[in-house]
Amino acid sequence: MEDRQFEIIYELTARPLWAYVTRISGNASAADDILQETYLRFLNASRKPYDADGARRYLFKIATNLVYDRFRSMSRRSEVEVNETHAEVDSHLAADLEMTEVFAKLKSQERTLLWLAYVEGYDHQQIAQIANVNKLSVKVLLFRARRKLTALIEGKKV
Amino acid sequence: MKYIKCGLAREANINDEKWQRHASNCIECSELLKVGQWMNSLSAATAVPTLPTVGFLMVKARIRQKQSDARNAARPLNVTAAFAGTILTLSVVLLFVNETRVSSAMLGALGMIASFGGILLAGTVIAAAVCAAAAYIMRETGSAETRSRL
Repeated sequence: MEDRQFEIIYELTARPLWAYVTRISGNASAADDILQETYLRFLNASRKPYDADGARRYLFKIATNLVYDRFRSMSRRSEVEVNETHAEVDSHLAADLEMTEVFAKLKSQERTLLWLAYVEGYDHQQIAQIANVNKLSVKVLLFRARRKLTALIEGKKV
Repeated sequence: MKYIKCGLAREANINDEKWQRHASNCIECSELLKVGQWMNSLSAATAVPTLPTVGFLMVKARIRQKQSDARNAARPLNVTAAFAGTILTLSVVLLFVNETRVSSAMLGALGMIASFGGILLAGTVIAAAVCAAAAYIMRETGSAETRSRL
């Protein structure tokens, strides 16, 4: 991949990708590392898409896998510690603390699906590819996530 | 649990004004619209800090690629060394198993090495040459691939 080509892709994807990783991982400092690792893997990948849309989806897929790997590698104890620091870290980033807290109450998969569907505007098939979920399950999982978020927004106990 | 049955309900519709008007009268679509708008607000509220530069990432990627190439180049040498080590260990073990006395075993081993000295030397030279050639080819191939990629 040529330098200029990568530069264009980076300009188009870096900020939305960072926001995505921060929101689904719930950790801004982890997002920095994951973002960097995502682009390094993308650059060194032998088979990668060269068109902007394909590259964007590919980057989101790498980032999603890295976030899930991170969750898996966390021990129970350290996971609690990270969750406790979320609000503190995000308070510097998010304009609306309440929104951050509400979103953090969802499971990581629910956050992933909602973000990909509503912020990135991907269809069910693309979401299935990026989030490693069965295409047929996306509709149901997204429905449940949306229902849960609606209840949280309205202040109902979930 | 009831799933959305409205035929117009699609996640991608949330910015469509016509659909937004429909959503104001449709319970199912209004939920979709509400969540969509909420998610967009959340996205807008996410302040992105200064990110690493493109140059930094590319340099880091090149360094990582070189390290990977070096590991690949050293692989045949490592495999050969491991193979040679295994053969040597097995030979020594077999010699000690077959011989009851250590001194006679050592003498036997020395005799064997002496009798096959020429063959062993030639084999070592050929193996070293093959390993060096393989390492050189892999290094060159790796460098060419890296250059074409970056």
